[in-house]
Amino acid sequence: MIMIADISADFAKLGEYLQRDFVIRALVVGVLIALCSSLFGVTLVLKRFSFIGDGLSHVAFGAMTIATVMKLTNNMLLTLPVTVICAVLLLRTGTNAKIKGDASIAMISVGALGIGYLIMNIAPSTSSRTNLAGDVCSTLFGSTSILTLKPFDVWLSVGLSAVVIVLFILFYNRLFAVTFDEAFARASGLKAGLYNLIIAVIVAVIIVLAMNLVGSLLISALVIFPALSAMRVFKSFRSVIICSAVFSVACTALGIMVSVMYGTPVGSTIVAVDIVGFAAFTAAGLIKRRV
Amino acid sequence: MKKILIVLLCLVTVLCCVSCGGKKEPDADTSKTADTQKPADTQKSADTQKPAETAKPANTSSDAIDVDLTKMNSTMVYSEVSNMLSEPEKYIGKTVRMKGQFNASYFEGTGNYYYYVVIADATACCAQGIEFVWEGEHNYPDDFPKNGDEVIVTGVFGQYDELGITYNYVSTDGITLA
Repeated sequence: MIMIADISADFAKLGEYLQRDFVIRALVVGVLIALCSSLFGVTLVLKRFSFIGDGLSHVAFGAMTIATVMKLTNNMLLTLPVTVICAVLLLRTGTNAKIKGDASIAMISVGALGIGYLIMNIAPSTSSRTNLAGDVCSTLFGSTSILTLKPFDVWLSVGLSAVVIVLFILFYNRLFAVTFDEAFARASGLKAGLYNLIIAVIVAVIIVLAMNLVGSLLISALVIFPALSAMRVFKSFRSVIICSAVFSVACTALGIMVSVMYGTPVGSTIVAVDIVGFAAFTAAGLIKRRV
Repeated sequence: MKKILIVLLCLVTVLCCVSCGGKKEPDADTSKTADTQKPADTQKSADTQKPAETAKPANTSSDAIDVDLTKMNSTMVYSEVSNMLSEPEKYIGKTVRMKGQFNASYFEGTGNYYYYVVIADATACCAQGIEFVWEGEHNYPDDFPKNGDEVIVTGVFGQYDELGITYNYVSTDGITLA
């Protein structure tokens, strides 16, 4: 009886919090980022590009520290182009460069992370801050960033998400071809390099957006968990994409609401909900196979 | 043709969003209170370091409080305070109750003491301070708590201009030791 009263009190509190503008903004942006990341997450997982997201998120962290040192009014103005350029470089030089594949991703990833933290420590504008560790912690784990978005950030996120979703719908068939059999796609006249480039640029955009939601260290979770969970139950590309999108949106919305209700860090809570969802889908997949 | 259509569609989407993002809705409360003058500050020399243990309790009832930071969890407190400081116009005229460490600082530029409630954030690593003004005649440090004391302050959120800069503050009629 007491437990029911506690739960109803929690929901009453949630209802009160949902009247706040910044909570609504967090939910809108969170859901859009989750949707975008899940759509391209399937492609990335199938192409064995899961770690590109991780590497680019560290690049975004490095760019964000430079933007902070430069005292830019909106960090995204620098973070976004730098991350896009690195995504293009990673993909373009991937086949011809002396340092190939996962080695170049790992190098850029740790390099950007290390340089970013170094800049934050030595730059006069940031090193004098007493809460430097807190700033870094917030950027890496996204403890509360999503709940402190300004209107401009929200509109930018909405605009970029719309572009990502429109591009995905328009290029769906070509992305499908490039994802499953790149050699066949090339043989049939499809410009696979161009579509890989489009994927890299879009992933960079998603990474930058997702930094606000879960922080740069946890971004890969948004890309990997929805796709892998959907693959436990469904087999066709279309059904995996749809299931992944629904899974990601539901987990993110639930994660934000749990975080708001119980005061837990937003990014970690979303990842925890994703893990629970993955376990549930794995169990569902096993049951489905046996039936 | 299809590619041109896609590019146009993307451009229109981005332009729509940028144009919307640039707009800022005027808030009637902002213009009304932006010129509010900060009430006369009690400025005293720091050599009389007699801390005040008894502070006058606030008489604002809990029903009339619009933003009660004392009843929120740490994530919400941090987010709410952050939004209060980044979009203060939305909070002007609202009654706020906050709990945190009392802190007083002296600014030579104006020759005044300024009083803050420092509120720890969700990860307990970053603190945000909200300035408050205790209405009436009060002497620092005689009538105020010691720096670092946990206090609860209830008052009305507002802004004042000083040296060409707009500051946010909470106007209160009392401080309660937590």
